[in-house]
Amino acid sequence: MEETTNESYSYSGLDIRDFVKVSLVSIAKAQHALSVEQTRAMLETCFEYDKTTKVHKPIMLTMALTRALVVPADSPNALSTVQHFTSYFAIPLITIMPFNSLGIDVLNLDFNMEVTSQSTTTVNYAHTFTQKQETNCRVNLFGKIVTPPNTKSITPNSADTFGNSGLKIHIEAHAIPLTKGLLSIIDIYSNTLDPVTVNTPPLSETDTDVQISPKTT
Amino acid sequence: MQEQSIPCPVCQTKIPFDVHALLRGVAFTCPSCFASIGIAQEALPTVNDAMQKLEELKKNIHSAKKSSS
Repeated sequence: MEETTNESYSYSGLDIRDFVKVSLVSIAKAQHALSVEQTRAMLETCFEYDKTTKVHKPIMLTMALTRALVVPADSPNALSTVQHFTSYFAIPLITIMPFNSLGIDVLNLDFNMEVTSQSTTTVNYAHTFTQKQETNCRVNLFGKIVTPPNTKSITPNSADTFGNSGLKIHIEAHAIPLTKGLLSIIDIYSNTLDPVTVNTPPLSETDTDVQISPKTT
Repeated sequence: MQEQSIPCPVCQTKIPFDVHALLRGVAFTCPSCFASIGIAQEALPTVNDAMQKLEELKKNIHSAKKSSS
């Protein structure tokens, strides 16, 4: 879609669209900084950096799964016994570390603006596929931020107010879910954690491989 | 807060668990087949090291926040 604009006269003051745009760009930069820090934290705590290969290797964690198995008696007069067997398997540390992604969830931007000038822009849209022409009229407002007459005194530690200029910015940061890519990796790891089937006769200490070992009798 | 659970590797019953307790070394038992799952004792130092690093990072962020304000 091609866009052409037609502005025909001069104006003065701050463009309200630019003002909102600057705030949104600042929030995007803040989100980026938070994401970078979170990634750094993950790399430092859950990975080992190999300087020779320049690869981050995941730190693996050994988990223990203990279950009771009834061992049948060897002879008719003997009693069956219960043995606890422990299976060990490894999972990446990142799958259980309590990471939360801190992000900016809500931005409220309140300001009082005195309109000093305005303009009308004619915007022509040319659709690439349909070859149709559309013309819209856009109103642009320009002005300056003013203090409302009933402004209350502002405490120095106020989290949502800047100065006494009639501008109020309220930001709420919340723990948001991890990124979809990282959650997918964790899901893949979780789904592949199935118990290993041993193809030798069960319930005997001789059949245990390196993953299964008797704990107590 | 949503309760976390993992499927039991033996019977697929959901085992509710608390990740912080799990990282401290607590083992959680399946309510159906009584299989217990937890971090192996020899892996606990690895977890402690990682948690300490994470706490240090949090402290650094807090101190940076205080110095900037």
